[in-house]
Amino acid sequence: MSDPILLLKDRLLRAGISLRAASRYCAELSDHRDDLIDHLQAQGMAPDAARAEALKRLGSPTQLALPMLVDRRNRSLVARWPMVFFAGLPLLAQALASALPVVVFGFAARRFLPDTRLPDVASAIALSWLILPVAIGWLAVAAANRRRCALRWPLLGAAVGVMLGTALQLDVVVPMAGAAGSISVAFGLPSLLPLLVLLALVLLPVYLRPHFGDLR
Amino acid sequence: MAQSNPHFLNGVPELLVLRLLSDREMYGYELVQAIRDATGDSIVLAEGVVYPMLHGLERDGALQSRRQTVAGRSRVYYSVTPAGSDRFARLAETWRELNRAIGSLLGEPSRV
Repeated sequence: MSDPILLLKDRLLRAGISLRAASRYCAELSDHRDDLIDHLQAQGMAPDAARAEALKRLGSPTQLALPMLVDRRNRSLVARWPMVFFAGLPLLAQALASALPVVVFGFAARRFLPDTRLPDVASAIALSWLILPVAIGWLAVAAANRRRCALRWPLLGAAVGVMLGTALQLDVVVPMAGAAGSISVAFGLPSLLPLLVLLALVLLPVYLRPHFGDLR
Repeated sequence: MAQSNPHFLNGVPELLVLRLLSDREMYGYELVQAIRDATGDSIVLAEGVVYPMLHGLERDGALQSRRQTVAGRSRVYYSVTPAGSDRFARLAETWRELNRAIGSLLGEPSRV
């Protein structure tokens, strides 16, 4: 990473400055640098020399970062409470996204869904409970990485999500002649194989993109 | 090249920025150049100071900004709001009082 402004953005994000504030500051500094280069070239300086002089005038990433760090209003809420944003909220989202299909399923089963389709729909919902924690976990890891936040909270949240997803069980009893059907949700002991496979999937982005590996 | 001068500058950058933006809207680079020109290079604000200050003043409601693309380059133009004008008037008055007080002190012969 040779561009000092990219380096500055990285440093600001790691220091807990909000993504919005850091992006805006760096974008304006980039424009400023380009204006300065144009100005110096207009004065007769060679392009490379103009760029070097402009960067020198802007100062080092440390000098540029300091005024942003001094103002506490630039601090990101996400950086202050990473556990809430990268573990709590994803788990809440998973819980809501897992509960909603069951509610809709129950409503549809009573009103219009043919009894013969009930097991298929139940299987689809059970499958979604396995996909959800992985998808939400990936999103949380990507969001944390974009903000240069530590990955321990999104990974922990995703691991808990995977355990919950694999522990959830949906049982459907199709109505028979003279006997009412039922839809029930319960927590059980998760099966080891799906648990391990899903945990490995959650960790996949960290393996595929080595710079994701900041596990502070 | 003029050196930036961090001493004696507490509150001065804000005063200068509000004063210059009272005349017309400017973008960051333009503002830095305007400060250099207006002060004859006596005051050179570091870029690392200017932008966070502009963002802080905007957050306080003293400035407003608008984005405009000029010759393919996106620029953020800042201008003073009515709250910013009031803030400038208060800062300018404080500065004048301080200036009078220090001028008076420096003008007196030492009693030591």
